[in-house]
Amino acid sequence: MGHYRLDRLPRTRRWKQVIALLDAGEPVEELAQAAFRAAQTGLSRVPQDPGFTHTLTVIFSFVDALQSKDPLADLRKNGFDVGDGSSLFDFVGGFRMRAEDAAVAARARSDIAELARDSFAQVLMKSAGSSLQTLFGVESADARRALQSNLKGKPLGSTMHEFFATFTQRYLNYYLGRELPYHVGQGMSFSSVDKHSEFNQAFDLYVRQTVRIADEFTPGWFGKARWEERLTHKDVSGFAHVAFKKIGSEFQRGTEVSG
Amino acid sequence: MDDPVDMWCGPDDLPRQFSRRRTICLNSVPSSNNVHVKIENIATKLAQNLPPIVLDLIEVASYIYAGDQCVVRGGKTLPKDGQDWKREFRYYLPVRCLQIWQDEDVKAALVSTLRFLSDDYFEFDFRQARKTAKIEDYFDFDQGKPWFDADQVMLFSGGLDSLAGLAETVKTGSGKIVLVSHRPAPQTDSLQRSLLEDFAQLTDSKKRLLHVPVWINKDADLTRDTHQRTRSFLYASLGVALAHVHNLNQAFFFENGITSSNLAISPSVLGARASRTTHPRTLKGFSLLFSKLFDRAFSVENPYFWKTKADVIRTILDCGARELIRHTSSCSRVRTSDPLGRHCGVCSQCVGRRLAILANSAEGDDPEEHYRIRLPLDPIPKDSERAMVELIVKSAREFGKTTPGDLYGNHPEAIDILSSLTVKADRSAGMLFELHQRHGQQVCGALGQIVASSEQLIARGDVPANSLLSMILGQSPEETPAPDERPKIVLPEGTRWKDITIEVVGNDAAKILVSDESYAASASEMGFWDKRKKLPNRIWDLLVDFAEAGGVLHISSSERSREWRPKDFQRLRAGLKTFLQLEDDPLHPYDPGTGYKTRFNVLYDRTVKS
Repeated sequence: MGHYRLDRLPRTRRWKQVIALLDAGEPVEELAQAAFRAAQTGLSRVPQDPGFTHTLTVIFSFVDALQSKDPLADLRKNGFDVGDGSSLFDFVGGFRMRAEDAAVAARARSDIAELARDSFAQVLMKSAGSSLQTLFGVESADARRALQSNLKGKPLGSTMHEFFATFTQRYLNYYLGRELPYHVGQGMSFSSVDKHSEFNQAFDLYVRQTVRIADEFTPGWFGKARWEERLTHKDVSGFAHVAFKKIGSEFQRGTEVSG
Repeated sequence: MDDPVDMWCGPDDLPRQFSRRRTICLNSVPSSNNVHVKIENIATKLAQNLPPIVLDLIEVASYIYAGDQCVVRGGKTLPKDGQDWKREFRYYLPVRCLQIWQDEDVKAALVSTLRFLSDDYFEFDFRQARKTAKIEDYFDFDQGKPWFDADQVMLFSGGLDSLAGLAETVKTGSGKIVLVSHRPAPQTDSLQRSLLEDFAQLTDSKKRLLHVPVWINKDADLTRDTHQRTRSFLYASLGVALAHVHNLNQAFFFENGITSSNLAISPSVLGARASRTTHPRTLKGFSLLFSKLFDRAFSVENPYFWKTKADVIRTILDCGARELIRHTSSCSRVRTSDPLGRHCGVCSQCVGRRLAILANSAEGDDPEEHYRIRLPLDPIPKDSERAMVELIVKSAREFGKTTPGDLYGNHPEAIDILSSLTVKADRSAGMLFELHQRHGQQVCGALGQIVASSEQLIARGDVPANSLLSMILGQSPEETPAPDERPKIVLPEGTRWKDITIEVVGNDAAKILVSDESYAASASEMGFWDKRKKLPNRIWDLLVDFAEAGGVLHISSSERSREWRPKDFQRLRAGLKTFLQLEDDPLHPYDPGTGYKTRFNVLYDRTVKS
């Protein structure tokens, strides 16, 4: 094993409430709602994080290039290091490297940018993996087609919904993950290591089911922005702001339903 | 991220335009030095071969290593979403070969490699060195040392991986090997030295080995941070310096691929918070930088990338070096280890080592008494240490069960490894998946052995609390009544908690009423029994409290943890669910206004005498 730095939760009232709920063994829904309330202020600031908007801009640039008539040439023109024989891993790796370079160039590297990069890569692997029989040994053209099919029209809406849901899940886990290992063992919230894993799965599922952004929202916005040639950081930040507002409303609705 | 920190390096006085308050001065040139460099065991003749660029590299790497420890990273709660973890350094460095260091490609390779390694931003301003250290300031020459014509340079830490690399190289080849060790602390020195003496004796290879220990440290009062993420740059630079003077084009790190990849064990561990010491991208960056510096193809290789830790131990056993395992050191807390020099047993390195030993059934070669805390049975009293052990075991178990989609979805950082490997990404992705799956299965196998060998302990209910075994099993004797004590209550299909009434009818007895049926149950049968005291436990008392209060405990947020600990409620929930085999939660979610409320009816027979 290498070295790891393990951090702790902020000592705010809301995170203390989350810890109390965790101690009490409250159901996963209650914890997710409480974690969302505790993380809400930070989440609302995400669209202003320069690292996040740079990553989102790279995402749309990736989507845009893949929709063009000559996707490989357009990807390369936009700084994605891919070639004729690129595998699915090369495409996703190319996106990750381009997103990192963009954040470095703007001196905007941040944990938020990294969470966004990880979230989109996760969604790409998942969506392409569902289209393909296997992740390994896939022809380059098939890998590209699998990516393209999920990044245009209605599927783009689903992909971006998945992106925001995954980002929200990763953001909440970025915090909650610091506390959960302290609650494993006899008489604790999770009696065993496996129970901790099971909780993670249930938590992720709940968050993803709660975050619902209308599938038409992204394709509509993206089509319009692309048409009007205004995929600027400011526009992208505005788009993200609306998306996170919708996520907040969904969690609020979740609170009302469970309450 | 705060403002950049200026690092003024070298013996020259700090220029006036720098603020004394905001600048850290480092100097490795005696006699007013606060960074100390000493390379031992080098033949005088060898030093004559030292080109100035090699001395530059040793100094630059030493300054970066020392500077890394002079500036604190953000606090433990990651304020500002972790921005303080990333620092910004502006280094002002004197060098002998100014033209080389000012080359834009050299600077770019240096900056990007260090950034990936440490997560920090770097800027470099090189200047021509006026006063430089003499060679003998840095090298302790051994006058009697004959010329050593090396065929290979490898970095030797004194851990299992470097021992395996050495043993395999000696067994399968006939060349001479220079072993470079960085010794940050005296404890490491004696360990490395005696291990190599034992190895040379065991394999009759003394004439084939040259150990070059290097001391690089700084004045203690400069230390503000102990993460040392740039340490492997120093280590690699020392190896490369030795390789260069021996006219070799490679230096070798031996590190298993799980440690090299070092995928995150928790969603909060982002970037270099999981160290990237020998990450393939790091080694690729080193190779690029050193090739540019020396203007010839140079590579830093890790031949063990496709091995797990358990595979590494298997290699040691296969090479006949089993008896040396006990003399290796893996613990990351060398400085803070106990006076007996034992491994701490709970840092990530110790946990990985111990599980790999168990996976090879090599416990006899790695005695338990070498550990301060002995996994899996010793209690791990410190919360942070228990959390570390739990996360390492959890992530390994998950690797054992993972699918390719899950591995690359949950760990997208694994994708970044692929482009730095020599094998095509499509193929190396499969190999990397298999490596992690194999590691997970080896750890699961080791854990299975632990459980099997602890059968009697488990049966007796004597599993120590807060031990790794207890975290794997997930049961404590107090919580789990023996099977024959379980009542046989069969609830009508569709029964919900609201259909159930629990009436406390005695000091350790209750009646369960469902529909028109009534069942007697003791505290022991319900699982609320303290086996040691042979009395109802505090969870039973909590149930009685609920009964006396009519099913609602008005406990405010501020006082809720005083009388009843939150985990008591959790244990009550778990106990009742197990006892009556109902999936639903027997309590309503905690409400700060109402407190805790049962979903079932609960009564208290007032004739009960205390």
